[in-house]
Amino acid sequence: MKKILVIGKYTLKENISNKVFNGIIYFGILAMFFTAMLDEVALYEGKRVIRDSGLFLTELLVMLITVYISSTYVIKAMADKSIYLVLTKAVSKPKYIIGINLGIIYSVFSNVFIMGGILGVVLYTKGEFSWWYIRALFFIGLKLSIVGSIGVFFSIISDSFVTATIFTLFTYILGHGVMEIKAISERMTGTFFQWILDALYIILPKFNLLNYRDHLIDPQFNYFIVLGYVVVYITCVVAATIIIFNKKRL
Amino acid sequence: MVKHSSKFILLGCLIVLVLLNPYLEKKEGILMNSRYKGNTGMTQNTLLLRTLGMKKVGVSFLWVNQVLTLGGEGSVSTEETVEKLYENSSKMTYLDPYFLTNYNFTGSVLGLINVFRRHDLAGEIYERGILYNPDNRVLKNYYAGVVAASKGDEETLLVNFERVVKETKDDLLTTIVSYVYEKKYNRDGQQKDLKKAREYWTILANSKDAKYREGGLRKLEDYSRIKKNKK
Repeated sequence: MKKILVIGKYTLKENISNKVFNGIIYFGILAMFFTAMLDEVALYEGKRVIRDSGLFLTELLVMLITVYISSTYVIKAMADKSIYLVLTKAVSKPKYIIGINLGIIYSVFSNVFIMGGILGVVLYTKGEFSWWYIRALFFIGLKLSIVGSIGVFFSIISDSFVTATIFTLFTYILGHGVMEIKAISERMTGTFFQWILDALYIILPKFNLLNYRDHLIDPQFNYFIVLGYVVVYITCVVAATIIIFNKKRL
Repeated sequence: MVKHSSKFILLGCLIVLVLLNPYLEKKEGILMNSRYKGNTGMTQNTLLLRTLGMKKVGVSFLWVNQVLTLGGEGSVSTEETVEKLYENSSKMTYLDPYFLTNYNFTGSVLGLINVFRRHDLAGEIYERGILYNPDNRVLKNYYAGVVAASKGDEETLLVNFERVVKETKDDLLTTIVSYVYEKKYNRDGQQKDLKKAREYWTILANSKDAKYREGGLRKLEDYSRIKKNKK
């Protein structure tokens, strides 16, 4: 367990020193200030415009960081051979993968709360800060933690940064449209495509449910079940990654 | 240990995911039913925004566009402005049918501002709003007021709009109510109408919006000048 936590901490530190990571964070902070300026042109709905566009920008930018980090980390470690140093020092492959995933989850939550914190200050000055906002940030963190684990999974199976990024982004997009996938499947009763779509519906992450910032009404979630779903889903992806990584020749 | 148990963990997690599916599906159903059910306002872009979970941010930018469209009135023809305002409102409804300001703002602009006077479109917008927000009294009063305005029924208009003003402190509507009372005073010469008009101009003189504040203060100055001249 200690080794896993050390790898997680090391992953977080390495991410923080990454230039792309820092670039996106600075851009995000600038974007938050730009969002605050929308208040001037939004008439009666300034607070709503700042809150919704700010939350969207937070998610978009942290998603880009997460996709980049998760789909490059292992590939980069293999390219500069640093992975061998770690794996020869009594760290097993599963512990290495779990550690990386943990580090990415740390990075996701710290990024979401740094950018969300800045937006939170802006909203607080406008009198729009609430528990709803904190919950929305937390759900963004949960959603992007899944994206991170999927990114690592694709980087292991594809061995290419470009392919891993495309697959991860594609999963992110499809995860939001699972309700549409189900609707299409219901219209294709009895066909082979229905089986594929039904399987996709269960396999794909349900980002539409985790998209708390965009819910029109409160679906009265049991938060423990939702949190349980995220934990089980990430465990599932990590377990699949470990199985593939164990079979991989380094 | 972890190495050998990965397959069992994966299998166990998949079973849990399948077991969780009915609960998640039920919640998805609730979210699915909360969406706008018609096709009005559905374009390639709004459909994409809805599918990708960007409804609220889409509404935010459409709202800014709506305000700018009205602000830019004069640079394009009135018909074009009306068309754009209605189109933006329909798109906002498609993305978020519970966004009340969309109905109140666009409906009152199209139904009450003299250069537009499109009661038909305003009515459609309010009906859509009431369908998804049946418990909202402000929306109903707004609609009743616009219908009364289209029929020239001053009394019904005032009753409904005064209720809305009391609840929302809407500057545009306060201006309309003040003008209607002023018009009534000029026509009938009753002091109670002048008193009411002054009451509403005073509310506007304390508005947060500089444009309405200036208008309110100017009117109050005019009233006191007329009063002095009469003496």
